[in-house]
Amino acid sequence: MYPIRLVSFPALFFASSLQAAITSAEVIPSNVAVPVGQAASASLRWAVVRGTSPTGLVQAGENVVSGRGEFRDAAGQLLGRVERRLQQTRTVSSSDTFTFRETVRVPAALLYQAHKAGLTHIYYQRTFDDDYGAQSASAEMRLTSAAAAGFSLSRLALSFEGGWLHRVVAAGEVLRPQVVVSFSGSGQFRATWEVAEPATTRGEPVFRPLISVRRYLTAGGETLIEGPVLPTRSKGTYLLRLRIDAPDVGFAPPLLRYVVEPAAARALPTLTAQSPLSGARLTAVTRFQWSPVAGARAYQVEIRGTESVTGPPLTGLVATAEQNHVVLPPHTRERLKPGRYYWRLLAIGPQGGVLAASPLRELRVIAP
Amino acid sequence: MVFLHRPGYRFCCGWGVIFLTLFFQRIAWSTPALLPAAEGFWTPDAALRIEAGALAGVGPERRAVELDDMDVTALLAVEGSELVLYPAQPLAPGWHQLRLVEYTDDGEIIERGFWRFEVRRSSLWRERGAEVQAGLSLARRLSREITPDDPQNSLEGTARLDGTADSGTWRLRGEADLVYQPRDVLRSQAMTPLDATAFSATAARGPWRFTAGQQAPLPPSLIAEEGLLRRGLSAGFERPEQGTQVTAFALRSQEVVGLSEGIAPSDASDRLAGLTLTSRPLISRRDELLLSAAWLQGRDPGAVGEGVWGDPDLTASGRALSLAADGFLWQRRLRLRGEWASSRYDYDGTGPLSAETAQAHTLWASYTPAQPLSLGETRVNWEAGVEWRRLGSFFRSLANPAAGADRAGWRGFAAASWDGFDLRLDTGREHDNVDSLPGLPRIAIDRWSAVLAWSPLQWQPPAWLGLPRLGLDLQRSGQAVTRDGGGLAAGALRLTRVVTFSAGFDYERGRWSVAHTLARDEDLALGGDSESRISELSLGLQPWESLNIDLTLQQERYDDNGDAATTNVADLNLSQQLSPRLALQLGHTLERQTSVWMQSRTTATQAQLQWWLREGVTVSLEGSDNRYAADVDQRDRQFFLRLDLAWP
Repeated sequence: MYPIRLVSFPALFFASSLQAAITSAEVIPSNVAVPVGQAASASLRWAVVRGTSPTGLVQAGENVVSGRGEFRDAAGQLLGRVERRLQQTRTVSSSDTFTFRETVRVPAALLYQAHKAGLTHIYYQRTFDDDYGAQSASAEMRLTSAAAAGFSLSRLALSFEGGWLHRVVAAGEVLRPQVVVSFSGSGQFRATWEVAEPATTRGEPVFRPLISVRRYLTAGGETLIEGPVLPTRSKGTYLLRLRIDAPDVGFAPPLLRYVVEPAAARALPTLTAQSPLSGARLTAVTRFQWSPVAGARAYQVEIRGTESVTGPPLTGLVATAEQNHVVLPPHTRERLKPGRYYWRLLAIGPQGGVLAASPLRELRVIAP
Repeated sequence: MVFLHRPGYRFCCGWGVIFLTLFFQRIAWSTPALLPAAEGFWTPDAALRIEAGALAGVGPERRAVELDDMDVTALLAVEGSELVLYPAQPLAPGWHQLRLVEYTDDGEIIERGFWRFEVRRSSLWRERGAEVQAGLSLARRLSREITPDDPQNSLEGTARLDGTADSGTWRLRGEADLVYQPRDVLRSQAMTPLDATAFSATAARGPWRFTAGQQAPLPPSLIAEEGLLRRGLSAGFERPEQGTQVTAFALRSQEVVGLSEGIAPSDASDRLAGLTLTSRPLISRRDELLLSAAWLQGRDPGAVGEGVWGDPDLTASGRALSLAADGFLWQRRLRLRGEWASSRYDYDGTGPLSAETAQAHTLWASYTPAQPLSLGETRVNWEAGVEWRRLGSFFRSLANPAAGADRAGWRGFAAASWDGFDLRLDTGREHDNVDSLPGLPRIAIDRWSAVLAWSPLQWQPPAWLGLPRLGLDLQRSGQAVTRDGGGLAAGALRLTRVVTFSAGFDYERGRWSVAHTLARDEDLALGGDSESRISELSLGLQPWESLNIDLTLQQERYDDNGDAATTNVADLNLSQQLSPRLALQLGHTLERQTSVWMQSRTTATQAQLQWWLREGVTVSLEGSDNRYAADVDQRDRQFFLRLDLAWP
């Protein structure tokens, strides 16, 4: 953001101020840097002063309106339009200032076109009118590279891990969102993951914050931000969004939806895993130990590459009902390259069904 | 023994000993075999019998059996010279693998047998079946505060469908998630009240494969985002033994949800079509060289898809080509990867602007030593690498819409681990305005980061420390203008520094962790800076089997050129299994934001009591109290009685 004071549009190509009730219009900041080749956003504050004469010779209207914004070059040639109306209505009194906040999105094609035409600046202009007179103001937009441009987002893509946009999951299943942020310039990305849970979506959805995201993004580019583990305990429909506080984007954040399906059976009883602790390193003597479960025919140690329990595990070991601890044999450990894994225990019943399961724990493997 | 001294007898006895030795060795180490099933095929609950010869007689510490990469040695029974495996769970129809290994006295692991076998439901069908998991949820609002649009009663449902048919010649598989949601606000724009959110269907015969629905046919490259998931159609041909795979695809440019959007990408303005080819030409060393090529073309209607925000006026078209080679040298110690790509991108599709052509290429090398270094009595494992890349100023691909362009430079990285320490270093220098576009500045970007983590490897910490983990993360990014332009003069532009310290402790029945991040960003051209301090505490306890408590506290102090703001978030969740059929869940969240401009306080409390009546039937009582206090106060209380039905 640039600490800009008003610099009136140099040629005043578009101004008309004859006996106008609106005496001035200005925009802050009046100068922003936008990237060539990708879309950008700019947060603008328009200040419009409406003046009246004590003699009543100069009249003013109650409505101050700007029907649309226009991109123009320095010669005044129209490059593009933003069909968004800004309007405020206020009873006519003495001198009065109207403030309009606008986040304008500058299309990538327009910036590319301006660059190809050899322009180094374009202008975003609005004319404010109250039916008795009009005043215009313009923000200068300097064309520059993505790294040197002002901090703004050009694209935001929310999804669940794996790229899915809608998920149906079982209660307790680990589900994480992610967002890919494309940006120009440098600055702090400030956002909050928020979720509306079934306790409200059955009526009026109310979002509650999950966790804040604060990250300095530098020199334009793209980044992947992983979200928190989402609540999946209650059955029903959830709404998820990323509320963005900075930079200004001027839009309602995109929503994702997920559904936790009702389960036929009760949640599986917890099998208590005694060791290893979460985050432990796997060694030749790492002991997987658990509390016995009545009726179990066998126990299974599952080692997985992700926090998802769907699909077959990477490797593991099956133990008999009489065992309450095992050590992974060398040929099983050999399958695990250095990295981060997750493990859990299952108690298998006589018919092959799962009687109980332990929560996933992290396991790390480093090179010997 | 006299006759042994006679030459003739000596000759005969010598050959006899050799013969007998070989004979008994053959008996002892005859190749183990997986015995065929009685029906001619294995059924899901069939026992697996291995004729193991002498290996059946050795102790379990000398041999092991793996079923689908799981060690099942403990389940083996010995019947004569046979090892018999009775799997703990029925095997899924399809192909499985069984491995028999022997441990020698010197600790070597020798594979004595490896078999792939097929489990079938019947002699005609390897697999045939359909699974449906369905649920219906009825809710009745109990609270009196009802806004006109809110229903008193609501109904929603889900179904997950999964069907498979496999005759051995044709393989068909389909899966879909169905959702019934009559309320507009709770479903995606394009969805009807009863709709499929995602689905895929695959038909395969021999080397041919056809897929419809959600899929990710493009391998990651400069022109394709990793795991790009889109709805569409594809046809592929695969020769695994030759390592060759060819896939032709036509996908939606923007991902969609709901069947009303159709299956085939029929709209040319929202279609991405192309071809991918991968090959492993070294037959005997398949993993050592991978060649890949991808070509695509299409049009993008702009960021109008689900979950996406961006340039709504974009109506771009383009095409792109990527050629890549990835291989290992020097006994896999040196890995080399190179990629060349070209794109032709038209910002306004069929509009008057001309298309922009650009190239990109990247070279990547990493080295891993065969033997770790020795540092005193400990060993240091390490690897290091370097990457050089150049992305043209207008390099853009429709299949990689988020990717940055206009970069050239190098990056070096190294990682080492020893005695509980892990260290990762990363440094690089890049610049933009790669194609020297007139009027634009050139920015040089220097980055480095160091991440150090420690957890005890040999040292046994006292019990009160649990399993400790410490981490330190340092990052620095500096920018400087190296060529005037865009209103910027040469000189330092920006400096960003981030330091994060974290500590975590895990116990048998709980964990806790703390983290603190200090970040500072300085605008060296215009002056001014911002600073952010974030502190986090996370706690998870399971005091006894049925109770779980999770608490997260986060505080951030942000100062932007003197404008200070503070954000506090606290999140507490508790779940208690009151009895085998009754469970309670409580959650409370508090967020407080304070700045010179505004103050706000958000509180959200939720509670749920769940009673499991019988298999598939659950009754719940749930309520929420939400309050937002700022310039105006908003409060919302809702209570519901809910009946969940699930099948099967």
